[in-house]
Amino acid sequence: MDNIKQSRKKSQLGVAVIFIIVTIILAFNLENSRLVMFLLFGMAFGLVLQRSRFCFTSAFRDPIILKMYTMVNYVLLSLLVGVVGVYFLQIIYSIQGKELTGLSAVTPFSPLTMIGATLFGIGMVLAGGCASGTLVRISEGTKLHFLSFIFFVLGSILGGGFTGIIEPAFSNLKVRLYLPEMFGWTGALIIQVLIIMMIYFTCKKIKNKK
Amino acid sequence: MKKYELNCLGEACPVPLIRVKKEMEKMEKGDVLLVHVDYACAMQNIPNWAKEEGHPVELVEVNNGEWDITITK
Repeated sequence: MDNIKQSRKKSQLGVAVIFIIVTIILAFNLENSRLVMFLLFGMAFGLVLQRSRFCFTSAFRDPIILKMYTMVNYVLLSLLVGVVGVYFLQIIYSIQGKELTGLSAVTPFSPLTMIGATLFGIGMVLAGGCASGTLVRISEGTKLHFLSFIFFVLGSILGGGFTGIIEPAFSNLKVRLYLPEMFGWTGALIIQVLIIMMIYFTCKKIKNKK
Repeated sequence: MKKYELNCLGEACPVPLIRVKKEMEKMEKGDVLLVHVDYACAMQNIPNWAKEEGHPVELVEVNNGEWDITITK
C-alpha cells in the first residue's frame, strides 16, 4: 500500500520470534525430524499467504460477485510457477537417474470430485475462507474463522467417513488422466501453460467488456 | 460535500466491499465516505476497487488490525 499511515501500532516481532524458537525446539523433540522441515516450509508459506493477502476464496468468488479479477491472476500466476517448477524438478530427477513422478501419484477423477468441489465452493464462500485462508485469519485474530475452523474439521471428518461409503458406487466412473503419460513432460507443460493463458485472456476479455 | 460513514467492523469479505459499492451509488461527486473495517482482506480489496474506479483513497491503521478507509467520490 502506498498511502498507508500507521498509528499506535505495537511491534509483535518479539512475540513471533519467541514463538518460532519454542515451536522449533518442540519440533526437534518429535520422533520424525522431517516434521521440522515441514514446519519451516509451512511457516514460510503462511508468511507469504498473510503478507500477500492471498485468498483462494476471493479468486473464485470475486469474479462472480464483484467483477474483480486481481486474485484470479495471482492464482493463475502461482499455478504457472508450480507447473514450470514441477517440470524442471522432473528434468532434475531424470538427470539424477531417479524415478519420475508416475501415474500412481494421480488421484482418479469421478463425478464425486465435481460434487465435492461444488460443496467446497459453497462452503468456502459462506465461511469466508478456504483451508489456508481460514488458518491465516485465525492467526490474524478474526473470531469468525475460529468457528469456521471448528466446522471445517467436523466437516472433513464427516466427509471422509461418507466418501468411504459412497466411493465404491462410483468406482466404474473413475477417470485417470495423466498428461505427461499421454504427451510426454514437455507436451504436458505446453498444454498446461496454454490452458492457464486461455483462462487469463478469457478473464481479461470479460473484464474489458465491462 | 456530504460525509458518509460505514461501520463494517466484524464483517468478513465480501460484505464490506458490497456495502461500500451500494453506499457509493447513493453518493454525489465530491462526497466523502469513511469506512471502518477490521478484516484484513477488506483493507486490501476496498482500496483496490476504489483505485480501479478512479476514486482517491486513504487508508489509516487506527489500531492493530483495524483500519479506516476514506474514499472520495
